[in-house]
Amino acid sequence: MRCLLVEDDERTALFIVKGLKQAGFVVEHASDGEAGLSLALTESFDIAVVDVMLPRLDGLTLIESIRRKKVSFPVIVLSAKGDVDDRIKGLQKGGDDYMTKPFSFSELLARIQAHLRRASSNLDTTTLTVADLMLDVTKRKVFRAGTRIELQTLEYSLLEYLMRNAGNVLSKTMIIEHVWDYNFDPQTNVVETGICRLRDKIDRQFDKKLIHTIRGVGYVLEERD
Amino acid sequence: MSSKSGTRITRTVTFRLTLWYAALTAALVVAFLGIFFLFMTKNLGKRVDGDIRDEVRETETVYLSRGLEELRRHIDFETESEGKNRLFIRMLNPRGEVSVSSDMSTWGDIRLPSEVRDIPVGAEVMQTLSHTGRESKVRVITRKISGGNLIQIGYNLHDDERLARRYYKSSGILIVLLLGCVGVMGWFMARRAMSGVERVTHTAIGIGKTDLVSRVPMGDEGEEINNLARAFNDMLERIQGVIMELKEVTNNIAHDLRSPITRIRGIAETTMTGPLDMEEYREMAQIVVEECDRLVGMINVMLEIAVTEAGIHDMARSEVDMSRLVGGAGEVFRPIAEDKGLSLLVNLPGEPVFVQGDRHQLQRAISNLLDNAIKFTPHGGTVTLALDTNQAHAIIRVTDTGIGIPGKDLPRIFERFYRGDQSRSTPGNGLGLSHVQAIVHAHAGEIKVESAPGKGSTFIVSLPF
Repeated sequence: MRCLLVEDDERTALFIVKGLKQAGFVVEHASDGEAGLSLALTESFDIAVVDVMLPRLDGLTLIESIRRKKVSFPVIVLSAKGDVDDRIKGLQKGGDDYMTKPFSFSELLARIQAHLRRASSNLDTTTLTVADLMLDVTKRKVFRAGTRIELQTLEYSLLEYLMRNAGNVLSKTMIIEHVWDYNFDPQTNVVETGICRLRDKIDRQFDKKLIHTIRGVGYVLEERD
Repeated sequence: MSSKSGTRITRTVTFRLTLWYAALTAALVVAFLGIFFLFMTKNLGKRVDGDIRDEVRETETVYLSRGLEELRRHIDFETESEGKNRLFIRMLNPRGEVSVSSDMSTWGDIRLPSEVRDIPVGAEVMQTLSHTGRESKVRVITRKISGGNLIQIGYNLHDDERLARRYYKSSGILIVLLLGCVGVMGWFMARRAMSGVERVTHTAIGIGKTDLVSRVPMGDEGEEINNLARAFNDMLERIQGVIMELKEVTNNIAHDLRSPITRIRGIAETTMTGPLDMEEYREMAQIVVEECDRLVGMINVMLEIAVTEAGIHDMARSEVDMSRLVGGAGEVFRPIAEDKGLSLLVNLPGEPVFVQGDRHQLQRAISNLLDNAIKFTPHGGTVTLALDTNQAHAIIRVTDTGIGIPGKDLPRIFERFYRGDQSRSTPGNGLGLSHVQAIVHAHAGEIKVESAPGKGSTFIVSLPF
């Protein structure tokens, strides 16, 4: 997977490049908007991460230009400004996702992976399966080792989100955005309580646990040995 | 800063006021004197004309009734009593030759007016002659009497002219004197008027340099100056308030950010100096990440509050159904309440309740209140979330049967970072309620709290429709 990173702050770029390489990406780094634009137009990438405040050419204009040239890989916008306006503007100009600095690297990685998967797989799959856990999207039913498990609406949404992103760490913020759609303080333990209840129903009676906590980062649903 | 030395005097209000005052007064005086002078000369002229007209008729009567000899005597008498330089009287025959005349030696060349040939008997011609070879003007009347004879009388205007000249001169002196007086008076008055302004300026400069506590005192220069002082004091009051708040917030930030940073530093340091153990390093990294998240969360909330309070944020206002929004908060927090063994009651009206607002922010306000209520209510308690309406407001009540808030803490709970003694042991950053308040105020709403320690608290938010 090739990722284009356009970021002028050297230190931020350093840890993003390092992290992405560890995750198996090939990373091209441009430190100003014009260099980023020429890279985006001449080489092929699977995804791009673009800072808004850039020398020579700002990030939003860059995204606008590449979209006008029909370059369609997903773009994640990074910004130090957290205004709702900025977020909307970023998405209007052709960005696919928006993250506010300071952000956690694992969240960036999770978002990148989510976008890559969305780009490749189709969302219409009728069943999602991880180990012996099966979720029927159309009938909204969940089975573990063949036994039907009753879930409440929120628990079901949470599980569906985890399963669609199986194997990827999802941060609390991402989970709140996708599952709750309600603005509450992320430091409350709403998410923890939700995960805890889901675990009770999915994992409790089984030896092989599927929902894992990555401390300080988030949660992941995957089959571990 | 440079009210005296730096600014040129011609640019001061005092100078301009003085100039205006002097100019207007001078114009007024000149106009009055001019009108008076016009009036005076006209009257003088009329008087001279009346006199010589009477004289010419008298002379005519003398000649017609008593003859030439009597006329000669009359002329001598009249010119001598008036002065030979001031008045001449003569009679000319129809051919223009002088028949009788007073002494004309000092009168120069005085001729008959040309039009006198065509006028009928009894008519008069008036002239003012200026080029007789003398320095002053002469007013001359020529009357045709029966037989075609002409009686001519001249009056020397020298005295009138001298009077006018004297009048001009004294008027000029008067105007100059008056201008001087008016200038001084104007300057004095302008200084008086501006002295209050200068006083306020001076005090203001002093206050700006030293502290923000002093105020400009009221003076007796007039209500306008006091209004200025009052406006200035009000501004100072606001600036002082903002600075105080800024100071307090900075202090709190310094304190509240320092503890997590200390923890981060501490754990990293002790791990580094300890033995090399991968597990410990992993543990350290996790703690560092968690603490950083907490810090970022806190900074984000602080920014949110600041922006909401300042109203910079153009709220994405739309019709928000509070019924759904409050119900939603109940759904989000129900699992937490249940896990804690609390009953969460949600009382909603059957129909939607719309207010104009930012859905996102209102969600945050309600969820913060509900989270608080759950946090401070012990096992077995009840938290009630209710939505009501009156004529103008949607009213949200969040009631708990928790520990309550002591009276001394009540007025301060909405302050940033304020945490009552009992709340210190509960996780939280002390920003939740100030965030709620900022959001409610941004929606032109009100928030109140009623509390009985040991029994519970009720937060009441009213939002205008």
